Amino acid sequence: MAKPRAILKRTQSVKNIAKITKTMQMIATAKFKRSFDRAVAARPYTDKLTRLIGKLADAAGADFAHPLLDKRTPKKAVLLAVSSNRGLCGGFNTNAVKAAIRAHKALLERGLEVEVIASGKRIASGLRYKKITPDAEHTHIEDKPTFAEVDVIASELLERYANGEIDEVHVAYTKFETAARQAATTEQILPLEPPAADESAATGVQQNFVFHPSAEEILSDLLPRSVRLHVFQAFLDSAVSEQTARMVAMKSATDNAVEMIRDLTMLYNRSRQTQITTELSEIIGGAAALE
Amino acid sequence: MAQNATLKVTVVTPEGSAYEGMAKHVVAPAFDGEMAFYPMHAPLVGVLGHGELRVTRTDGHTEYFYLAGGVVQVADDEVSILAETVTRAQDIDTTEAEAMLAEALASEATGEAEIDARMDRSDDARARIRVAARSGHRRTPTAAEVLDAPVE
Repeated sequence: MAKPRAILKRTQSVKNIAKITKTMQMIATAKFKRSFDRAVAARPYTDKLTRLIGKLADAAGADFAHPLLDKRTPKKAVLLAVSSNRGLCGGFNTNAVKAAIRAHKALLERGLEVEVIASGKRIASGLRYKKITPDAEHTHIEDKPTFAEVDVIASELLERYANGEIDEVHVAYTKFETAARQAATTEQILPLEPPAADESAATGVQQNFVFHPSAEEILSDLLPRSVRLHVFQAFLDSAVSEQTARMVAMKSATDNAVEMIRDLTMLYNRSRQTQITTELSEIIGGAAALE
Repeated sequence: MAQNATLKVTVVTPEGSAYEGMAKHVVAPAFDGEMAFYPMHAPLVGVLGHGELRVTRTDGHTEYFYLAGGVVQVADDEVSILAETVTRAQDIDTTEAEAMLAEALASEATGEAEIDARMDRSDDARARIRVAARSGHRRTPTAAEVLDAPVE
């Protein structure tokens, strides 16, 4: 049986680990709350923009054409892979890397030239491990992505798309569905799907809107915005998912540590008892030999 | 028009709601000039440029915002503004805006597109400075300064 002292030492180190994981869990919970609020705060904007685009698409008519809607024969695609800078969050990064690799493979199979932009240290190193070297890497976006930060990336992609340099943009990220469900997915950002006409307009309560300048021009102004928003949403979702994943991972780590501490304490008590018994019997044995 | 008619104003950005409240009237920076909305305005959708957004609250007090890139939708006495950047006048960093203006003015521009882009940047910076001056504790340039400024 192991030495009681060694067991005691191990218990202590497990206790220290439990303290750290417990703290990380609490921090992740607090951060989750904040990033969740941010993700929710973006919703009114998204809803209004979507509804407005629907209304405008209806007014502009079916023959509306815009470069962002053009389906040209794709030659080069960009894959924007979004994950985090930090680990210790369960399968979050691994799943994001897997989704990115799947998307990368699918694009290559279609015979496209693929450029990979990685956001987050973890996804960049994960992809490199799989021999996919990211062409660009962003690590400055932390757990609170701001619109301005994301806008830089999105605007660059829009510009390159407009120049005809790239023909498709996909984003691989972790979509936040509910607190218990996050799924690593890939979505196509560019070219845009043609906007669906607003349903409420079809049901008859249509107001005669004055468009200033014209519905077509407003729509042309809004479409790039909706692309940027989509990218921003992906970053927000990824940030929330990361915190949720970390929360869950740290909770199970803490639970495991607590269980381990219990087992080790029991083992310690047993081995201590055994030691005492052995010592006692040695003393008794020694005393008996003297008589 | 009823005397007590008011407008419901909502200003939202991708990062959340920037302003929400009742107002007597709203003046928004359209892409080609200012647009004012009073209660019972006809339904309208318009593109906004960068500039000053003024919201005159029902208590007569006016709030000033700097706004860039967005659209306004008016319907049923409700003014919804979607914008990518909205800053309250008192939160504008004038030093940064002045640096932006100086940089824009110093940059060389050749060709129509570049000149347009430069104009855009300098207009944007000027709009920021102008709105910041509204907050009261920032000084407006004196007449002499305006006259001495290099003519573009």
